[in-house]
Amino acid sequence: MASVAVTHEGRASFRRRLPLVPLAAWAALLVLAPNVLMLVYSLWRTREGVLYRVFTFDNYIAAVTNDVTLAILGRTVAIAVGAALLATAVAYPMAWFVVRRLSKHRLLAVLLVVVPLWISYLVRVYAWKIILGDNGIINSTLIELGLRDEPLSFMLYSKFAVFLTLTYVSIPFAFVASYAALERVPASLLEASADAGASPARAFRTVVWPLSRQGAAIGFALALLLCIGDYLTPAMVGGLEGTMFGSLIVNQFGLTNNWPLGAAMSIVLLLLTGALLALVARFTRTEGTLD
Amino acid sequence: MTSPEVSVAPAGVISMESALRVIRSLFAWAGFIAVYLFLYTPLVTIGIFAFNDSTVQALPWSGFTLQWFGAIGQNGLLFSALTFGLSVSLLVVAVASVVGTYFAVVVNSATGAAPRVLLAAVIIPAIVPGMVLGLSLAITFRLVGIPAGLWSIVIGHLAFTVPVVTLVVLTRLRRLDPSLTQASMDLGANGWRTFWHVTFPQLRTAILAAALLTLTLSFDEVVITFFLAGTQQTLPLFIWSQTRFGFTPEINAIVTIIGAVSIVLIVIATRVIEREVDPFAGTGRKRRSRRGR
Repeated sequence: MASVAVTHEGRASFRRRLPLVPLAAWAALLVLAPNVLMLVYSLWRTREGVLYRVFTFDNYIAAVTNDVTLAILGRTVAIAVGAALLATAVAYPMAWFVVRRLSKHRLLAVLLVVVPLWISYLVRVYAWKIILGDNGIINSTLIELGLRDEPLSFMLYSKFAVFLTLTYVSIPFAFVASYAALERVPASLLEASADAGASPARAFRTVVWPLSRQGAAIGFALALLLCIGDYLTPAMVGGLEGTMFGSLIVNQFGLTNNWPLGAAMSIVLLLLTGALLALVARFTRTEGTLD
Repeated sequence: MTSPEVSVAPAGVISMESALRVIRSLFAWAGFIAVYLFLYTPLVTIGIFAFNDSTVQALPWSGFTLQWFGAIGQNGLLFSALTFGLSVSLLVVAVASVVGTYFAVVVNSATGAAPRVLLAAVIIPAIVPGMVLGLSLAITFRLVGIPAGLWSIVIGHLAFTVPVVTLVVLTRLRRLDPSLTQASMDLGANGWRTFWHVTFPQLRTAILAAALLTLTLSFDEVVITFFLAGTQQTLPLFIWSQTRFGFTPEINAIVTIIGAVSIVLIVIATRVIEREVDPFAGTGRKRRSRRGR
């Protein structure tokens, strides 16, 4: 009898869990399987286009001991962290400005920052190619005005171009996250700190920043995620000098046709990104809660 | 300020302070406007060159033309990329809206740790860099034997758009009043009827907003598509190949059209979300009942 009760209960709990099955299937087929297979692939080897299913760490060793690869990895981290930082440094004060100075047109101001996100990413990057190129707007204007005889060549196909473009595409993300946090800082707290004699600078340091730095950190993290794995920007405006790690991964898929190495590089990139995000999370916990 | 009188000094200090404040405020406004200029310069540039009567993308301005817009229709490759990309995106929107909503409802109503863990897993593809998702799916499809083409792209896009729909709908679900559902159940409606007549109408705007977001995400996607596409290109892939090897002003023209359409869509979507307007309600029952209240 007892066993019958157990099966009944088991069946009931199974029926309750039944709706979760498609969700579990989705997670297994489209998340778990591809990642496991990528991991397996990264441990295989190809030689002259033929895949050998033997387990080896050669790809990882190749990915982290090759000088060129390492240099590009270092550059990728430097550019991505730099661009995400600059974007946050521009967007956070801007969000604070919108929260404090604007009331009637606040929504419009926010919308105007977000609208570029709805224009194709590819197009926004491509536009910088038109602006920065040797025949681009800046250079042709400089030459037309007689300010320069030759175009400024550092602007396109350079680290500078990649950095500028990534900062550009990051600003809306950093802005939205900063704004969401700053908007929730109650004005009453600022009034209270002013009444207590704190200067605006001190009020910012002791009230606003501690309550909103998590938003800034989320914005920074979003921007970092976008920049560190980007392929389109370096390929479009980076040239040889601006090559990033993402370009290397895509090359393993295309030109070089070494999928196992590409898979190993992808996993290196994932681990690195995870480590950077963990660092960000560690240093920017909110002090106190708003709700 | 020759007089050493005490009463004069504060007045001088105050005017200095207010002058400083004005200067600081001017700087703040200038910086604020400079960011907008920075954000819009590239977009305006593309728009302007779509109407420039020259095959070279440089100043000076060589006259107004609409020929690049006309050329879109005559460029067969561009047109087939556009229609193929649209069919991919429409399939993705249709499936992602249903599946994403289903997942949100399931996660919202189930108890325990399992749904939370599964949700976290399902979200992963939306966070990882596109090339990592693209490569991992390409490897999987190669091993399983799914050919590169329409369906491989659709599956790839679903992997990162379904979690977006799920999160948007889940956010709405968590704000709903549970007593409505309970009342419906108490009155004898089964789970499905309750969903269809009580929950779903409250989710409609969220699903619509998520669908629009999915449409733009899918239609614009390049990197994942690059890994999964066969010989037929989507529009962004076509633009990508064109912009890398040369320049055709039709690209500026089509991009300007798509940009304009996107902005119209975002305006509709924000209106829908902000005001909770139901665009399907029209002059029907709902509107009237609202007025009656």
